[in-house]
Amino acid sequence: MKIKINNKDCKFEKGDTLIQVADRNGIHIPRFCYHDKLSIAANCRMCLVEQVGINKPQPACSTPAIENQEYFTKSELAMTAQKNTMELLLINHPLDCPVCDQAGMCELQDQALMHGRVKSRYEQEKRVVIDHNIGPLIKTNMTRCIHCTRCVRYGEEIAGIKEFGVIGRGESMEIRTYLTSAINSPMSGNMIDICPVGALNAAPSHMKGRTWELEEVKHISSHDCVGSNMSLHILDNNVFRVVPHENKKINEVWISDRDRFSYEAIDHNDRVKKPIAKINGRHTEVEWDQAFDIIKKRMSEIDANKSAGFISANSTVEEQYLFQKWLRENNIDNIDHRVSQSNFDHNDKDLMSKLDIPIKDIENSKSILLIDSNITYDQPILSHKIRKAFLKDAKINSIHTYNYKYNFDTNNSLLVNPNFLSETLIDIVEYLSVVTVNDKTLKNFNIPEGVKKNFKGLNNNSIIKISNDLLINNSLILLGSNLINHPEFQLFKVLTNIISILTKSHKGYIGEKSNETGAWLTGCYPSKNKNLNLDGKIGLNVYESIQEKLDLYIIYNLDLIDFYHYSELQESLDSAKLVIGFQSFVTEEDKHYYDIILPLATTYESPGTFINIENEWQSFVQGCTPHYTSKEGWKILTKLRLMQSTGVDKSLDYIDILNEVDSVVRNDTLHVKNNLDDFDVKKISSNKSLTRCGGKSSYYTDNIVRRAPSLNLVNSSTNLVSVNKKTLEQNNIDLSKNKVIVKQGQNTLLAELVIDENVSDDCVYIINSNKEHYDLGKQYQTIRIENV
Amino acid sequence: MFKNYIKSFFLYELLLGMKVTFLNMFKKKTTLNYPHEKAPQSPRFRGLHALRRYPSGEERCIGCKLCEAVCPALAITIDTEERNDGTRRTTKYDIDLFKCIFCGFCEEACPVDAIVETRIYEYHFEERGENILSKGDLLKIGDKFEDQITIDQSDKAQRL
Repeated sequence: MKIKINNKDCKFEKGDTLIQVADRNGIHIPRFCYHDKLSIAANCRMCLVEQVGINKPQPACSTPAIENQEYFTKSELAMTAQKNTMELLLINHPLDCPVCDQAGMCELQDQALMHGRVKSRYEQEKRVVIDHNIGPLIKTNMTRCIHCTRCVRYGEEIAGIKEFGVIGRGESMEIRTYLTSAINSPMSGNMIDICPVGALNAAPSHMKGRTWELEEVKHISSHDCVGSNMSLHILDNNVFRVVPHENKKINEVWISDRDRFSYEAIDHNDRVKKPIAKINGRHTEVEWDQAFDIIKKRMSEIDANKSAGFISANSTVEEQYLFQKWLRENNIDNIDHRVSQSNFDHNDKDLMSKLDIPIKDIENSKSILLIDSNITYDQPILSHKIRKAFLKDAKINSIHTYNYKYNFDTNNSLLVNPNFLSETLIDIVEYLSVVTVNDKTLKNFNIPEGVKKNFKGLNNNSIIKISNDLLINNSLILLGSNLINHPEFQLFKVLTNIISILTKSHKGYIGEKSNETGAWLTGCYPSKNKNLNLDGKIGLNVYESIQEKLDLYIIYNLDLIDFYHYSELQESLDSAKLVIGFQSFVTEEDKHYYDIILPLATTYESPGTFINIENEWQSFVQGCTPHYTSKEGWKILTKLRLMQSTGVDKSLDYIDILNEVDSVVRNDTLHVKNNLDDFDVKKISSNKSLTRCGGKSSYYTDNIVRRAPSLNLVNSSTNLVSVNKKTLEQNNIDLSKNKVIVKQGQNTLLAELVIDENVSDDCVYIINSNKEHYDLGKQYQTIRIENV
Repeated sequence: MFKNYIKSFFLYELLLGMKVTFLNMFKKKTTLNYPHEKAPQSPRFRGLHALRRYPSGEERCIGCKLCEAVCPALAITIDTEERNDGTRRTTKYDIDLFKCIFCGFCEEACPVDAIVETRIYEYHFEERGENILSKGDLLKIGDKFEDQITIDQSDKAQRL
């Protein structure tokens, strides 16, 4: 089908609006309210064009293209209409471009220049709107608002959390939060990008620079497992702000607030500025060469079998590859990245975090089961995809240990105590084994005896409903990242696998780190991976390495609180002979554990590659050169390799390493072992006592995010303990007081009490969001609660 | 031949040249006795820069960086920050006089008439580094010559 725009033949499909056809054909039509990811509002009237045969101009954004019609976007009728609209919009818009942060990238500024009148005829007073504080991330200046309602529609349609609304009409029309509360959506920052004027601006970069000074560098986010594409805007070798970069396969045009504002951590006080070595028991700043010499000398004194190295799964593939290579060249086999995993049973069936289907296909799923996943806050981009599936009438079910707030509705949700989560999953397997008994395609698959012996008859109706929904074609099971701390995590993985086989559904283990796949592929775990030419010796995993109290620990890009076995680690580090840290940030309390700390560049300052949950390789260049005297990880590791081993090519540069990693790792896919015959369910905990549960705060996930000042202002009170009323009464807690004492072993914590019916019985829900929570003890352990 | 001989005998060419000299002795002088006398200046004269203040004492500059952007010689360097009262102010405003070509674009770009070029053209530097005028220097120049700047600015506005 064809139409003519400005005498140019344009093809279109049924249902296309005029503005879509024009955009595809490179014909510019001015617009404010229209955004191709949002619904059509047609309230700004800027896109008026002439349709031949109709004597009134038509809004291009809401006019459907009609076969063989002729349209003109620059005829006199259209131009006059656009000019008049622009004049109307500018009546109340302040002329404060010189102080506005948006100036230079402002749609109103550009279009006023192209489509507006030269001079204003309006001489009366302009309208002033009072600003409300909507939180630490977005700076408002609502006088500049032109009421396009993009932000309102964004909240309703994309973020799924209705926070902004239109209040009043005509002159008193105003866009604001309903109850002057702060914006709470984990993707609120995108409102800054879609606002065509300077009404909503990023608060952290407010008034610190001008748009035309910035240099744009494409980058990949390092804070969640999807690897959102983003652009760093660099000003004077500092990251000035972060904006999304369109990638239709992954993040479309959105990024989460965590990816957007975590750059602020780069110059945090904890940043390691120079190499630090402990000389005569005192930390001294040393030069790089000196630090390398100390490492070489002292590492040679220590038995390689009594050494271990831990690397963050947030490091780039290149760093991970070089790290394990460096250690293995020094005969150190105790390498691991699974620092937040609590339990390593069923290790031979270990599966990396991974999604069976591409991220963009999540929205086409017909049924989704979330297993204890706070996905809206932990993985906002994945949550957005699930929301899209929900809007396409997918059935979303959730089994969880806390009634998480989602930005979509769930069909059935089942609240269980974390100690009984595995039993719930076994119940599902039991029901499915009955339902699928006649399924011939499952003839070759036997449910392991270890699982079968735990079958105990079904009595829960919602389990049947949830299981039935999974039997729909094209279903998906997602295992949440919080569970990595759970002692039965490996069991959950295997059970999820069994359920996905029985229901022929896709499955995904959502990792909390950006490059877990990379860490698996590069061999940053005790392994005998053939591609890496290892001799078959399997080292110790994190837990064993910590328990063995070794002599040398090497910690790469991790805070100590990243370790699940945090308290044991502290003891082991105290007794170790040498502790080497490759760190961007070290807190004052952690510093004394280290003998040598090498300042490491953050991901913003170094090039690298991240492999996301769908096995997509995404490389990026450095946004700015490393601050202070820190160096990129690949440089430090290459230098150490050159110093300590012979046979390493001296002329190694980044491209060589990239090629090496590419040739060794790229074609390697870890085989998922489906041999489940000898699998046995080992019940780890089924105690009826009070259990601590809850994951990490989404703004406390890694060493960069937890140091970003603005993000950490979003949650005003972090020292909260949530318990439901029944449990409180059973434990004789005085409900009238708003403080309680929680105890784990010897440790106690005084915290604010929240009576919250979203917590399951016999649970104390604490979101780890400050260091005291880690000092208190581990998740999913017995906890006591007492009156003040 | 004889004619040339007579001409050179009576120093005819010399007298011809001296005629110009003697005639100029009685003409009005075109030079000035600098530094005791100075040439007149246009109100649009583009000399040393100054930053102006409002009569209340508040500095005019809002740190919009338009002058920095327009400067063809890249002589201006600005850093800004949000002040406690919520307005953006410069923390650094440097003009490198070695780079500056005195084109006056900065003056033209300024939306608040903060940066102006004064009539001052007599200055010198003794040390390297003195060629860079900092924000304080510029404000001092502005304060000192504000009366003249005000007159010149209003004059310019009338001639637009």
